[in-house]
Amino acid sequence: MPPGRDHPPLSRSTIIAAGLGLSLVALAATSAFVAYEPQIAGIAPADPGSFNANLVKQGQILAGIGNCAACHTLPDGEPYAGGRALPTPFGVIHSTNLTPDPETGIGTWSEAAFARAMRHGVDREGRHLYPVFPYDYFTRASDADLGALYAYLMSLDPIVAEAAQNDLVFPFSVRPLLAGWKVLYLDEGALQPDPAQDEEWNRGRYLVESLGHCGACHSPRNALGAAAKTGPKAYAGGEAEGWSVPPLNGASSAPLEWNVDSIANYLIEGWDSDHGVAAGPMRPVVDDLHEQSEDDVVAMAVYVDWLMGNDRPENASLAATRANAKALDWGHPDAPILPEESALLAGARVFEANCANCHKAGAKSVPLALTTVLHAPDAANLINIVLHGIQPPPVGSPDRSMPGRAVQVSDDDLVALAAFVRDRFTDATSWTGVRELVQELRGHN
Amino acid sequence: MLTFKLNGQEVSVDAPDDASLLSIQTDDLHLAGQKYGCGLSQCGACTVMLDGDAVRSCQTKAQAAVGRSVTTLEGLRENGAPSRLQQAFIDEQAAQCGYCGSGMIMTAQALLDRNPTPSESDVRAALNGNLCRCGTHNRIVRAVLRAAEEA
Amino acid sequence: MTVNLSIGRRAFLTGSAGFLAVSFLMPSDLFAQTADAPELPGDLADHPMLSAWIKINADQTVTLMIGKVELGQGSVTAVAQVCAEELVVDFGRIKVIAGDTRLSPDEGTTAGSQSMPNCAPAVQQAAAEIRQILRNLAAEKLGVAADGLTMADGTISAGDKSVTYWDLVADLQLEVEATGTAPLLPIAEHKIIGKNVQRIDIPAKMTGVPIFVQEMAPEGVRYGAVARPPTYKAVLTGVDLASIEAMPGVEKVVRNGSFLGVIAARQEQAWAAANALSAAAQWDVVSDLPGHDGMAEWLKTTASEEKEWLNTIAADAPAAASTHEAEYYRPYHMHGSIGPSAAIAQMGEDGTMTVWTHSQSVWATAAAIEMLLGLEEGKVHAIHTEGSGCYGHNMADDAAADACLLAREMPGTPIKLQYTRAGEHQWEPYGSAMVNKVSANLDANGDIIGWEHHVYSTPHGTRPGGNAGRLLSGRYVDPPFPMPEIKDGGPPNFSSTRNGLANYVFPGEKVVTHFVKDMPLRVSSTRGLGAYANVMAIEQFIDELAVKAGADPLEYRLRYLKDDRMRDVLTRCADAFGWGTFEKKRNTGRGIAIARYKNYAAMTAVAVEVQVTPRNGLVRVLRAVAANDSGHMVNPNGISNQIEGGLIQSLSWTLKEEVKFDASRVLSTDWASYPILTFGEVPPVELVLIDRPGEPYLGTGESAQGPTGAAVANAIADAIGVRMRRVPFTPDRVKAAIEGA
Ligand code: FES
Ligand code: FES
Repeated sequence: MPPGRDHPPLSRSTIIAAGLGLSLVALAATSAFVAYEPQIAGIAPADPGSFNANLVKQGQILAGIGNCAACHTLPDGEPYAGGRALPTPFGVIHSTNLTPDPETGIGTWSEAAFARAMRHGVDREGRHLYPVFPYDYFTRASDADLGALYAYLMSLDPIVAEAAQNDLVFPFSVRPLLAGWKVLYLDEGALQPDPAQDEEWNRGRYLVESLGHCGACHSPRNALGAAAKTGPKAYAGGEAEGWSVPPLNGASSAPLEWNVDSIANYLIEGWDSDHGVAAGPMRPVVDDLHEQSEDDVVAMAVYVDWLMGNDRPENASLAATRANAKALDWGHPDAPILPEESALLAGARVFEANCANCHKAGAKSVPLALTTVLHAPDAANLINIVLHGIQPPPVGSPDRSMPGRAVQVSDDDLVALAAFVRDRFTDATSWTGVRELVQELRGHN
Repeated sequence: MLTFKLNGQEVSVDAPDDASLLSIQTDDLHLAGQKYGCGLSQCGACTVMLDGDAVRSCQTKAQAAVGRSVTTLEGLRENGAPSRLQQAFIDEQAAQCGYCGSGMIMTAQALLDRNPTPSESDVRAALNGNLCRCGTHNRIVRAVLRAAEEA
Repeated sequence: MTVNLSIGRRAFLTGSAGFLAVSFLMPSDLFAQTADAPELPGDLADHPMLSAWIKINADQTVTLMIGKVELGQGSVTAVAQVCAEELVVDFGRIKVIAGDTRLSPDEGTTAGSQSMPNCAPAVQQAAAEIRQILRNLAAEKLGVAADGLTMADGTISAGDKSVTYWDLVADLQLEVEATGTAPLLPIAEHKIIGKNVQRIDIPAKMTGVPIFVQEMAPEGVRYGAVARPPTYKAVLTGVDLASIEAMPGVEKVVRNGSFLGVIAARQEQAWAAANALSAAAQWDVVSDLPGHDGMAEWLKTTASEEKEWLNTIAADAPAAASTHEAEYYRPYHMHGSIGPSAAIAQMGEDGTMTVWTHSQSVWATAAAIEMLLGLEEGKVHAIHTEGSGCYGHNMADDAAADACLLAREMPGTPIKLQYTRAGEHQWEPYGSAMVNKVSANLDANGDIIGWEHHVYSTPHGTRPGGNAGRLLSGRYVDPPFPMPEIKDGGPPNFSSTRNGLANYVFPGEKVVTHFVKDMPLRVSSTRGLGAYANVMAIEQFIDELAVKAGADPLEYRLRYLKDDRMRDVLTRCADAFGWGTFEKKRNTGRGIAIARYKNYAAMTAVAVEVQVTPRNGLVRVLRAVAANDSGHMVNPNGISNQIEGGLIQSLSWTLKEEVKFDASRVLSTDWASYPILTFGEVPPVELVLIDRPGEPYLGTGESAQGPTGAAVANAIADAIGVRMRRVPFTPDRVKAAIEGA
């Protein structure tokens, strides 16, 4: 586990968890959330063709904004048939089948049952759902949008796919305790527009804060897995699938401030020339957003830009930052000489053999000194990219793929490389714990 | 002596320490499948499978293959006949000069091993780092999808 | 035989009558034919001997020998189809020898989409002649009348009696010349022509059977590499060879003037040694290049040879109600073969140099190498062996020459040499940069009164052509071979001016070429030569005029397009695209363009829909439709492969490619600094192929380049409302154009 992360690692969790569990039970007893919710009667599966086509279309768009398929689809499986294992600090949870199969999917769910799941995190049978399903964001969606989403899912082809058993650590395996979690962390109800802001901002906020559930990854989670929703911790960056997720608030470490255009480029094209490529868990998000209405995604960008509280740098200073960044590129006439310190020099040699052919002056790649990756608080993303490469979506960020080099670089190489690139391309302090991270992330793919 | 498994058979090669895996195949073992295209990991013409993963052999040291299993274009053949994927490339006439073909096939094979039912978008994403100058891209995508369908 | 002589002979043959006796007396093949015989088709006129083309073998196969070679376009398969058809044998019996200077008829260079127009008809006629001879032999043997015989897959039958070609081989005399009189099979009987026969080279390529020269490894092979100078015009002043000789694997270091090469045990060792050699050498460097950003201006301001090719503007043409003019620029583009060029050469004991090469011009390149090495004529035996797709004159010939330069230093040992990626990227002869200025006088309706087109270009054709001065290393050996003067090509093929004359009929048209002989960067034939830039200019300009006239670009074109076949191609392309029903969505646009390659060959129209993102200037081609008329189609699948391939390559040129260079050297050294189109950027392509049975084979390979580029340019203009006139349309430039509007 990388240093500085908010989750306790699984191995350390049991003792803490047991303690927490007790307090949860206490909370549940006094809460508005009852531990046992009623079952909502099953309905006869609707004819998939019976939904209004426009409503279905709208729902499909919303499912894309929500990136639902990313979690509810196996890597090589049928879309929305679920089954994907989602590792959390509390154990492994498997996503469920969202297709309208009556036995294994949600075919017998009424719209009310669906809305209850989205707003309250309770399934049709009345069981509490784990917040890895981010109902703490979805609860803010409008009734109309939930209706559209329902129509879309119910008009999919039903697929028979039994969900796998979750594998959670006690006491997290006890669902009723989730009622307590909700008391603490679920703020129910649709989001109301802020009249002080314009329509685009409100639209963006709505999408980001509800179905988009950006904060689910971009905000740190506390010991009970709840993402920070307010205060300086909201959007302060988090962690997902072994990747370090950059902050979307004022803590952003991007060397060149983001703006609406660059955020929109990143969300739609998966790439921005001042920041880099969307990789890791962000890639499927871009896959989906690429298909969305551009206006909606730009609205999201407007809101995220607001979250970041960016100043508007002068064009001249933008140009200067870019030029300075380029001057650090390998092979640039003004580039710094190679470091003398042997550890850094070793990293430079690794860079020369493995990276410099593409990351060099005059090449199409983003100047490394501008990339978010190298300015991140830990080396996780750098390591992931070097080991496993970047396979950007085939449309949107054309020409930005990078082959992984897990075979070519040893652990020692990678440790040296991380030290060198951090030193050469950033002013930030050097990373720690790199070797442990390398060992941990080598296994990921 | 470098010893590794090549297309299912143990081979030993006497080559310099810094020799690339690609050079072992071309200069020592005289295999035709993998091509030199750039030597820079930029084009994919040299792609082979190392323990099932697609890797660029031009920038992989032969040392890295020691004790592991390398599969080349030749190794996909089944009893001398083209494999399903190779046959799909032939059936789709998915080549102009065909120089990029071997890297395409090896990359696609690694994809199919991982994901036997890829979407068109999956195929394009997997092959995005492999270059073709002749403009055969769409046929290549069709060939990979055809092989998946026929499986 | 020189070009002039061959033209002279054809003129002689068609222009005179009745000298039957003479032909038997004249030893030269100049008068080899009876003067009243029909003109022999294609390259058969130059090589009328049937035995030069086809051999019937006792082992029940047929050897087809041709001088055109496989460049990845499938033309060898198509020619073999024609042979099998006309000879009435199964396709599988045909074995091809292509481009062996000792075994194949010299058909010159495989270029200019000329394999189908020149080689296929020759083979077809030769095969028809042989079929006739076989039929007559069989009639004799079976004792029946020749016209009562049926033929099928090498068997000739009359009732229950039959004889096979293979039985007749012993009596078969093919040391005779074609008469041109043997009739071709009626098209209605074709079983192989027009069919999608699978290409003969693809199975090997997909399964790892050696077929490329890059894959050959003869017994005892050693590897070569060349250390190039830091700039084109550098002269070597000193070098310490000893340190290089001590490097691992190095067996020989060769210096000849400013030429430096090494021979080593392994290819990587040779490359490493050559890099070290380049670094260790001292050079006198000349830095006098205009740089990529200065190139357009340089072309317009450098001394040039001016030639007016056409001027039909009448002195009393009506006065213009308005005028419009525009200037377009096309940068240097690379051939950019995915496999860098390679060759294997071996010096034999008898002083023969054998070289396996993927040159497009084995005969002329062999002659150039003879000159380079000071060998007598015929001493270089060049054998064409496939390489990576070249799309014109890349470094294939240079690799052959360099391999020979090194092989000479180690007689008996085969020397294999493949350039590095940078070695190919920086030293190949690029497609020339060009400027096109077009202007028009218009009447009050926006119709064209007069059209004027000025083409500015450096040369396009610097193939070896038998001269060592055109081989890269020829410049650096001692004494260096001077580059012979380069001439611009004239009609009908042209080179700079290829497709400079519009396919439209205007009331008046003037075309002038400003041919700049100086070559800042090395240049040579690149898919379409001048046609890409010229078609782009013409087809963009007419689009601009249509917009100005408030007319639909399709309708406006049809006002001036008079050729029925071209009109058909254009309208069928538009229909397949859905031109009439196109709904323009935000940030999208449509564009269309057409050209008849070389004004007489294949016709291609392309329509595309693009989406431009103003935020970042990214142009995405959403779909492309191409319609093509290549005459009688021999292999539709091969034609579609060429059209689609050419279209995609042209998208790459148009959207992404530009050779970058500063005052001294080329900066585009690899795929990171010279990016090309990738899978995610390739649109779906829909093709409409128009078959014209009985019409000449027109050859397809180059005809999509210009129309594609222009269609994209037109679609971008439609999408953003601003006309961009400088290729490539990279995001930065598109964004700047939108912001500047
Ligand atoms: S040769 Fe290995 S990637 Fe190009
Ligand atoms: S077919 Fe020629 S490079 Fe792909």
